Amino acid sequence: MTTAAIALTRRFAREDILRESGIFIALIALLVVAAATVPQFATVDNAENILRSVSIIGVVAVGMTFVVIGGKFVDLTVPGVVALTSILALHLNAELGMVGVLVALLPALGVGLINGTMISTGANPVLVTLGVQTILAGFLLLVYGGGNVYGDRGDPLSSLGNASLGPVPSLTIVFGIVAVLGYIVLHRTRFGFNVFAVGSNPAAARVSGIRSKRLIVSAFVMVALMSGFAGVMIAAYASSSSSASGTGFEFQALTAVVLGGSSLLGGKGGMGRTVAGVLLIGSIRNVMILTGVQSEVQYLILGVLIVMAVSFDVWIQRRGVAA
Amino acid sequence: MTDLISRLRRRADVRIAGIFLAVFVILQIMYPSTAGSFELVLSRTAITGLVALGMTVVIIQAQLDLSVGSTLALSAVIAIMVSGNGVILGLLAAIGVGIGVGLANGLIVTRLHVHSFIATLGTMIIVRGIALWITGSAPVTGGSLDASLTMIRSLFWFLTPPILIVMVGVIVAHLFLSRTRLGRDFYAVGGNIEAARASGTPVNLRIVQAFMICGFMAGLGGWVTATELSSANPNMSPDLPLLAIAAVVLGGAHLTGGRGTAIGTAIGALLIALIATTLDAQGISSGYQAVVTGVILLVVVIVDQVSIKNLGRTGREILSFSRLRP
Repeated sequence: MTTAAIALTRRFAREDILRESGIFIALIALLVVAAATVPQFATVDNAENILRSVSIIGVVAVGMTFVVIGGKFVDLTVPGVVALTSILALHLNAELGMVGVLVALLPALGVGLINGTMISTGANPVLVTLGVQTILAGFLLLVYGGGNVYGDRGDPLSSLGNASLGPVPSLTIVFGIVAVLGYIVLHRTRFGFNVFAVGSNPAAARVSGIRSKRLIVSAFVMVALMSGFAGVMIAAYASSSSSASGTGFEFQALTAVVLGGSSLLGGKGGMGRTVAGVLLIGSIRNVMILTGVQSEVQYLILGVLIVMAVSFDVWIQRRGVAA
Repeated sequence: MTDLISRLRRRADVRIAGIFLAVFVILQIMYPSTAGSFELVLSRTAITGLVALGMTVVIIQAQLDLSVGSTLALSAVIAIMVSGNGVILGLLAAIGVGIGVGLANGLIVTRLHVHSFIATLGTMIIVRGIALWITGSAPVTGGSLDASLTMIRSLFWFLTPPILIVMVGVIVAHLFLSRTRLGRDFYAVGGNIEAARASGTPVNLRIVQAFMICGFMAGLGGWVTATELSSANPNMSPDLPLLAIAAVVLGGAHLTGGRGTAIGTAIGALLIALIATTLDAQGISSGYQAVVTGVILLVVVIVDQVSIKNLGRTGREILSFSRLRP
């Protein structure tokens, strides 16, 4: 091999290592620093808090990973689906028990199908999901206004949502299962491989026979179903919901995915990294709450994080290409 | 004659004007009682139309600016906070905020090479956060802004100052886009960025300028809003980007850039306002309006991508089980 080729290979390896392990290093670093400097951080109670709060967003982030890696940016319908599903779950659970909860997931499936079909025509995912989200939000406003919906704290769903296996909340167990399944689908199945292919080079993917349109539909169905799960988790845990549930979830999930090292341009990323990103954001939020940072400033920092994460991602990509 | 007609039919802004007329007539037939609400429709268009004009410039370059809602809110808040020291200061401050955010957007896109969607998503959150932070999440009132408008207010019969500003804006935007070198450059950057770069156009500068114009419009809109209400809510206008983009896309612009006109956008904004006002007048709640706006946007976006005869083919592609032939 020529010297240039060797240098090239080494350079690419460096970039990928940074992308691969960057998030894990950052997460461990943050945990260590926080444990050392912030009182109450390194307690079992606090760990439970973090785990519980990240589990709901984490489930959404697992679904969002497919959309991002597939090159379709984002699904902005997450808040609407979360709110709709959580409200429906509360209602149907009262009527039909656990079967009702499963039925409550059907509209989420529908929304995912609609999103995916429209976006598979090549339309801009931001606009399509923005439009659908507006429709969902309008619908929720019409039917439920701003009020809260309450469930029964004594019923099976609620007990399930509030249970714990030792120190681990049930919500986190659900997140864990979803994350593992997501990992298997993304990294160990043909479908997952195709997602990477479509994301990195849509034209080549089509020519090699991958059914891109159907894959895009599947990706959006996944994120919508995950949002539905998140809604069910909210209903189970809090036994209450409103049409405002899920606000901001799409940004947090996207930030987690991008922070974790998946590229917004598609074709690069991973499930483990998304989980690390979720934990990182959850820990940062937790630290901010523990140190008394105002919620407005927390919001601000979230925005800064997104920009930083994406710039970093782009910077790495460009360094790799400019060999 | 038929040649003229077919040429007109191809122009996007003529198309949207036709759609507008058709919808107007239909709505008048369905709800004849809204005849006198012309003024309402116009003033409703004012702020959205202003921001949509700025958005037009950005979309012509194949970019998006999602931060306009937050920028408007922050500008309004700052205008109120600052105007105690002078009305002109309030205006300058609001515009300054808008231009500042636009500059930030432009720099993030051109320097950090971040896609405009994500860049403006980030600034949207950051700017909103700043607005919430400096107001403690509560609306601010006061300031002495209304003094500036009482003079102008009685000048024209239905042309309230916001409407006047928008009309001036449309004229200026139209002339800018169609007759100036800068305007032509914007179309070039959006149509084929490499070709524009190769022919010596300062592409990065144009991108930054487009975002600054969009920010300026949002800032101006914030000032107008603050003046109208004599108060500012840091949470206001969360839907503004959607409405502005809808107006621009309705007006014939393509998100892929290179197309779009000020007049088309203005008519698009009018169309949205017309529907919203009519629904309002019938007592139909804002939930429906959101649904209708969303549906309109989706229809426009999809039709942009897929002509009707392709719809069947797309459906079959998704559902078929045979190997795809490229």
